Amino acid sequence: MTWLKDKWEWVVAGLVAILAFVLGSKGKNTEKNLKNLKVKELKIQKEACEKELKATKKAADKHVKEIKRVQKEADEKLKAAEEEKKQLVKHLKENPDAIDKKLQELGIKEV
Amino acid sequence: MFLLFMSLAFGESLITKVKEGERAPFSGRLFNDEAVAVVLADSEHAVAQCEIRKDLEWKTQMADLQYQYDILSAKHEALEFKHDQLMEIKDEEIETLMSHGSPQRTMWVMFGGFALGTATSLTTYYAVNQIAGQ
Repeated sequence: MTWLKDKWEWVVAGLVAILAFVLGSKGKNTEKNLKNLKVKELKIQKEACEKELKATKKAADKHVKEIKRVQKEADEKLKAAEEEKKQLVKHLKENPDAIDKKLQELGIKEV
Repeated sequence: MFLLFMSLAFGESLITKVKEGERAPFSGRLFNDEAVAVVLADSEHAVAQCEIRKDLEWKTQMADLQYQYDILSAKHEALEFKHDQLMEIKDEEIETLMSHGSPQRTMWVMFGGFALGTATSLTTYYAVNQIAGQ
Protein backbone atom coordinates (compact mmCIF):
# COMPACT_ATOMS: atom_id res chain seq x y z
CA MET A 1 0.00 0.00 0.00
CA THR A 2 2.89 2.28 0.88
CA TRP A 3 4.49 1.36 -2.41
CA LEU A 4 1.25 2.22 -4.21
CA LYS A 5 1.16 5.56 -2.38
CA ASP A 6 4.75 6.26 -3.33
CA LYS A 7 4.46 5.23 -6.96
CA TRP A 8 0.83 6.15 -7.66
CA GLU A 9 1.88 8.45 -10.52
CA TRP A 10 3.52 5.55 -12.28
CA VAL A 11 0.55 3.30 -11.66
CA VAL A 12 -1.86 5.87 -13.08
CA ALA A 13 0.44 6.52 -16.03
CA GLY A 14 0.68 2.78 -16.65
CA LEU A 15 -3.09 2.32 -16.52
CA VAL A 16 -3.61 5.26 -18.89
CA ALA A 17 -1.00 3.80 -21.25
CA ILE A 18 -2.72 0.38 -21.19
CA LEU A 19 -6.09 2.01 -21.83
CA ALA A 20 -4.66 4.02 -24.73
CA PHE A 21 -3.06 0.90 -26.15
CA VAL A 22 -6.30 -1.10 -25.91
CA LEU A 23 -8.33 1.67 -27.54
CA GLY A 24 -5.68 2.20 -30.20
CA SER A 25 -5.40 -1.48 -31.07
CA LYS A 26 -9.16 -1.71 -31.38
CA GLY A 27 -9.17 1.28 -33.74
CA LYS A 28 -6.34 -0.27 -35.67
CA ASN A 29 -8.32 -3.51 -36.07
CA THR A 30 -11.27 -1.58 -37.39
CA GLU A 31 -9.04 0.28 -39.83
CA LYS A 32 -7.59 -3.04 -40.95
CA ASN A 33 -11.05 -4.51 -41.42
CA LEU A 34 -12.18 -1.49 -43.43
CA LYS A 35 -9.06 -1.68 -45.56
CA ASN A 36 -9.68 -5.37 -46.22
CA LEU A 37 -13.25 -4.64 -47.19
CA LYS A 38 -12.08 -1.92 -49.60
CA VAL A 39 -9.63 -4.36 -51.18
CA LYS A 40 -12.42 -6.92 -51.47
CA GLU A 41 -14.65 -4.28 -53.07
CA LEU A 42 -12.03 -3.43 -55.67
CA LYS A 43 -11.51 -7.12 -56.37
CA ILE A 44 -15.23 -7.60 -56.92
CA GLN A 45 -15.41 -4.61 -59.25
CA LYS A 46 -12.53 -6.03 -61.26
CA GLU A 47 -14.17 -9.46 -61.30
CA ALA A 48 -17.46 -7.96 -62.50
CA CYS A 49 -15.65 -6.08 -65.28
CA GLU A 50 -13.87 -9.26 -66.35
CA LYS A 51 -17.15 -11.17 -66.30
CA GLU A 52 -18.81 -8.53 -68.47
CA LEU A 53 -15.88 -8.44 -70.88
CA LYS A 54 -15.85 -12.21 -71.21
CA ALA A 55 -19.61 -12.37 -71.84
CA THR A 56 -19.36 -9.49 -74.34
CA LYS A 57 -16.58 -11.24 -76.24
CA LYS A 58 -18.62 -14.44 -76.25
CA ALA A 59 -21.65 -12.55 -77.58
CA ALA A 60 -19.53 -10.89 -80.29
CA ASP A 61 -18.09 -14.22 -81.38
CA LYS A 62 -21.55 -15.72 -81.47
CA HIS A 63 -22.82 -12.78 -83.52
CA VAL A 64 -20.00 -13.00 -86.07
CA LYS A 65 -20.55 -16.75 -86.36
CA GLU A 66 -24.30 -16.26 -86.85
CA ILE A 67 -23.84 -13.54 -89.48
CA LYS A 68 -21.37 -15.75 -91.37
CA ARG A 69 -23.78 -18.68 -91.18
CA VAL A 70 -26.72 -16.61 -92.42
CA GLN A 71 -24.63 -15.13 -95.24
CA LYS A 72 -23.38 -18.57 -96.27
CA GLU A 73 -26.93 -19.93 -96.21
CA ALA A 74 -28.12 -17.07 -98.42
CA ASP A 75 -25.21 -17.57 -100.84
CA GLU A 76 -26.06 -21.25 -101.13
CA LYS A 77 -29.73 -20.45 -101.72
CA LEU A 78 -28.82 -17.89 -104.38
CA LYS A 79 -26.58 -20.41 -106.10
CA ALA A 80 -29.37 -22.99 -105.98
CA ALA A 81 -31.81 -20.43 -107.40
CA GLU A 82 -29.36 -19.65 -110.21
CA GLU A 83 -29.09 -23.35 -110.95
CA GLU A 84 -32.89 -23.68 -110.89
CA LYS A 85 -33.13 -20.80 -113.35
CA LYS A 86 -30.72 -22.52 -115.73
CA GLN A 87 -32.71 -25.74 -115.45
CA LEU A 88 -35.94 -23.85 -116.09
CA VAL A 89 -34.49 -22.14 -119.18
CA LYS A 90 -33.36 -25.55 -120.47
CA HIS A 91 -36.76 -27.10 -119.69
CA LEU A 92 -38.66 -24.28 -121.39
CA LYS A 93 -36.43 -24.37 -124.46
CA GLU A 94 -37.10 -28.07 -124.80
CA ASN A 95 -40.86 -27.81 -124.11
CA PRO A 96 -42.62 -25.02 -126.07
CA ASP A 97 -45.92 -26.13 -124.47
CA ALA A 98 -44.49 -25.25 -121.09
CA ILE A 99 -43.72 -21.76 -122.44
CA ASP A 100 -47.33 -21.39 -123.57
CA LYS A 101 -48.56 -22.51 -120.16
CA LYS A 102 -46.31 -20.02 -118.36
CA LEU A 103 -47.43 -17.20 -120.65
CA GLN A 104 -51.05 -18.08 -119.96
CA GLU A 105 -50.30 -18.03 -116.24
CA LEU A 106 -48.93 -14.52 -116.70
CA GLY A 107 -52.21 -13.50 -118.35
CA ILE A 108 -50.82 -13.07 -121.85
CA LYS A 109 -53.48 -14.15 -124.34
CA GLU A 110 -52.62 -16.21 -127.33
CA VAL A 111 -54.49 -15.12 -130.46
CA MET B 1 -59.71 -12.08 -136.41
CA PHE B 2 -62.39 -10.19 -134.47
CA LEU B 3 -60.71 -11.20 -131.18
CA LEU B 4 -57.39 -9.97 -132.49
CA PHE B 5 -58.83 -6.56 -133.43
CA MET B 6 -60.61 -6.26 -130.08
CA SER B 7 -57.43 -7.12 -128.17
CA LEU B 8 -55.39 -4.68 -130.22
CA ALA B 9 -57.97 -1.99 -129.57
CA PHE B 10 -57.74 -2.46 -125.78
CA GLY B 11 -53.92 -2.72 -125.74
CA GLU B 12 -53.86 -6.15 -124.11
CA SER B 13 -50.75 -8.33 -123.82
CA LEU B 14 -50.88 -10.68 -126.76
CA ILE B 15 -48.88 -13.48 -128.17
CA THR B 16 -49.22 -15.55 -131.30
CA LYS B 17 -47.31 -18.34 -132.90
CA VAL B 18 -45.76 -17.57 -136.29
CA LYS B 19 -43.69 -19.73 -138.53
CA GLU B 20 -40.72 -18.54 -140.52
CA GLY B 21 -41.88 -16.61 -143.57
CA GLU B 22 -45.39 -15.95 -142.18
CA ARG B 23 -46.67 -12.43 -141.73
CA ALA B 24 -47.01 -11.20 -138.14
CA PRO B 25 -50.68 -10.39 -137.25
CA PHE B 26 -49.76 -7.33 -135.19
CA SER B 27 -46.82 -5.02 -134.52
CA GLY B 28 -44.48 -5.90 -131.71
CA ARG B 29 -41.34 -7.83 -130.87
CA LEU B 30 -40.68 -11.30 -132.12
CA PHE B 31 -39.00 -13.59 -129.61
CA ASN B 32 -37.86 -17.08 -130.37
CA ASP B 33 -38.57 -19.83 -127.79
CA GLU B 34 -35.10 -19.48 -126.28
CA ALA B 35 -35.56 -15.77 -125.64
CA VAL B 36 -39.01 -16.28 -124.15
CA ALA B 37 -37.61 -19.07 -121.94
CA VAL B 38 -34.92 -16.70 -120.63
CA VAL B 39 -37.43 -13.91 -119.95
CA LEU B 40 -39.78 -16.26 -118.10
CA ALA B 41 -37.00 -17.91 -116.11
CA ASP B 42 -35.51 -14.51 -115.25
CA SER B 43 -38.81 -13.30 -113.94
CA GLU B 44 -39.21 -16.37 -111.71
CA HIS B 45 -35.60 -16.13 -110.61
CA ALA B 46 -36.04 -12.48 -109.65
CA VAL B 47 -38.88 -13.43 -107.31
CA ALA B 48 -36.83 -16.23 -105.74
CA GLN B 49 -33.84 -13.91 -105.38
CA CYS B 50 -36.00 -11.29 -103.71
CA GLU B 51 -37.31 -13.86 -101.23
CA ILE B 52 -33.77 -15.00 -100.41
CA ARG B 53 -32.54 -11.43 -99.89
CA LYS B 54 -35.55 -10.62 -97.73
CA ASP B 55 -34.85 -13.72 -95.65
CA LEU B 56 -31.18 -12.74 -95.33
CA GLU B 57 -32.09 -9.22 -94.23
CA TRP B 58 -34.55 -10.54 -91.67
CA LYS B 59 -32.08 -13.04 -90.26
CA THR B 60 -29.32 -10.43 -90.13
CA GLN B 61 -31.57 -8.08 -88.21
CA MET B 62 -32.54 -10.88 -85.83
CA ALA B 63 -28.85 -11.67 -85.28
CA ASP B 64 -28.12 -7.98 -84.59
CA LEU B 65 -30.95 -7.78 -82.09
CA GLN B 66 -29.84 -11.00 -80.45
CA TYR B 67 -26.33 -9.52 -80.18
CA GLN B 68 -27.66 -6.37 -78.55
CA TYR B 69 -29.71 -8.51 -76.18
CA ASP B 70 -26.67 -10.64 -75.30
CA ILE B 71 -24.59 -7.52 -74.60
CA LEU B 72 -27.28 -6.07 -72.36
CA SER B 73 -27.73 -9.42 -70.67
CA ALA B 74 -23.97 -9.62 -70.00
CA LYS B 75 -24.05 -6.11 -68.54
CA HIS B 76 -27.07 -6.96 -66.43
CA GLU B 77 -25.49 -10.13 -65.08
CA ALA B 78 -22.25 -8.32 -64.24
CA LEU B 79 -24.14 -5.52 -62.52
CA GLU B 80 -26.28 -7.95 -60.58
CA PHE B 81 -23.18 -9.83 -59.44
CA LYS B 82 -21.46 -6.57 -58.48
CA HIS B 83 -24.53 -5.30 -56.68
CA ASP B 84 -25.01 -8.49 -54.63
CA GLN B 85 -21.36 -8.67 -53.65
CA LEU B 86 -21.08 -4.97 -52.85
CA MET B 87 -24.21 -5.13 -50.73
CA GLU B 88 -22.62 -7.89 -48.67
CA ILE B 89 -19.45 -5.84 -48.28
CA LYS B 90 -21.38 -2.72 -47.34
CA ASP B 91 -23.30 -4.70 -44.73
CA GLU B 92 -19.99 -5.93 -43.30
CA GLU B 93 -18.65 -2.38 -43.38
CA ILE B 94 -21.68 -1.07 -41.55
CA GLU B 95 -21.36 -3.84 -38.99
CA THR B 96 -17.67 -3.05 -38.45
CA LEU B 97 -18.33 0.65 -38.08
CA MET B 98 -21.24 0.02 -35.75
CA SER B 99 -19.15 -2.23 -33.54
CA HIS B 100 -16.39 0.37 -33.49
CA GLY B 101 -18.47 3.35 -32.67
CA SER B 102 -21.98 2.41 -31.69
CA PRO B 103 -23.98 5.22 -29.98
CA GLN B 104 -24.26 3.12 -26.79
CA ARG B 105 -20.49 2.63 -26.65
CA THR B 106 -19.89 6.32 -27.27
CA MET B 107 -22.10 7.12 -24.31
CA TRP B 108 -20.10 4.77 -22.07
CA VAL B 109 -16.84 6.26 -23.32
CA MET B 110 -18.15 9.73 -22.50
CA PHE B 111 -19.17 8.75 -18.98
CA GLY B 112 -15.97 6.81 -18.52
CA GLY B 113 -13.93 9.83 -19.63
CA PHE B 114 -15.88 12.08 -17.29
CA ALA B 115 -15.36 9.70 -14.37
CA LEU B 116 -11.69 9.28 -15.16
CA GLY B 117 -11.19 13.05 -15.43
CA THR B 118 -12.98 13.63 -12.13
CA ALA B 119 -10.94 10.91 -10.43
CA THR B 120 -7.71 12.36 -11.81
CA SER B 121 -8.63 15.86 -10.61
CA LEU B 122 -9.50 14.62 -7.15
CA THR B 123 -6.35 12.54 -6.94
CA THR B 124 -4.26 15.50 -8.02
CA TYR B 125 -6.02 17.70 -5.47
CA TYR B 126 -5.37 15.09 -2.79
CA ALA B 127 -1.71 14.71 -3.82
CA VAL B 128 -1.16 18.48 -3.79
CA ASN B 129 -2.77 18.74 -0.35
CA GLN B 130 -0.56 15.95 0.91
CA ILE B 131 2.57 17.65 -0.44
CA ALA B 132 1.51 21.01 1.04
CA GLY B 133 0.82 19.31 4.41
CA GLN B 134 4.36 17.92 4.58
